[in-house]
Amino acid sequence: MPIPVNNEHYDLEFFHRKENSSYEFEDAPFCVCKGRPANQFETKTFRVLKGVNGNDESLFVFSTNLPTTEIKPKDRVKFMGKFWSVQSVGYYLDAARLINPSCLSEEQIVERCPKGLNLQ
Amino acid sequence: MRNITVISHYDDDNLKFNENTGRYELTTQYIKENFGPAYANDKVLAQRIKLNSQVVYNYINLHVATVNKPVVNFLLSRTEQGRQFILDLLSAQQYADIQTGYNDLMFQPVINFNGQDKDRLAIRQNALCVAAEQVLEESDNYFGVRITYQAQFPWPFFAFIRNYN
Repeated sequence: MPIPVNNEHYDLEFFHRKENSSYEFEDAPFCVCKGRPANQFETKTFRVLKGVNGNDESLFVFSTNLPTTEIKPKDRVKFMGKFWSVQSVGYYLDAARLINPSCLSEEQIVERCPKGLNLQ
Repeated sequence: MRNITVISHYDDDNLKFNENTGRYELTTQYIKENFGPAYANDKVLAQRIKLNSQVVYNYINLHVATVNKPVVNFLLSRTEQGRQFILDLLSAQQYADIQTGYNDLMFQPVINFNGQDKDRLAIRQNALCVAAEQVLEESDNYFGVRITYQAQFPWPFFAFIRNYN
């Protein structure tokens, strides 16, 4: 069995919200990818691209190849046997080990960095 | 000794010669075509191109035996093979710079306020990325001699450049 990238053992299944409904979600996931809970150091370097972070008890997820363009805040996620709501989508700046991010464009930095989610 | 084509330095779409520094530099057009718009803006891009040449040429100067420096300078600036070699070397290093800002490795502070210091020798030894270092190590493919060879080159090289000085 291959070793997962960055120890990402768990599946993330994303569900869109149904149109004209605030609490019903589609049955089939539109996207499935791998992830894991972020550790304390990674959590501190989380930069938000979309949405706002939740409260202190919210969960940060580390997922290297997360399709950030497809996922929106308020989408539903099945992660580690539980359903969560996406609070924000972003990336972990320090985890990319950039020597000097200031010279690079925003797109290049986002492309290089592992992505993440804030769930609640 | 391999057949070497002697030229006078010239500019094209990939490389331009900086008269002030005596170094070849990649063109902005070459970087945009091959690596995409990776830098923050065009001003930063121009700075990074100059910095890239500076880092690469300094590394070469540091690792060439003093006795061979006239020959190496000639090979790099006055031959077609040297031009190709510099293009490959600068491209590899520029790509590393685009990925992580690699060329700033040499310019970071090596000591912080807690008194912790970084390994200066390790920083010097890793000034070039591995891909660029590989091009440098395989310089015999371009010139018939490895330019970082630490003893004197065979005499035909010195006899060859004497005709042009």
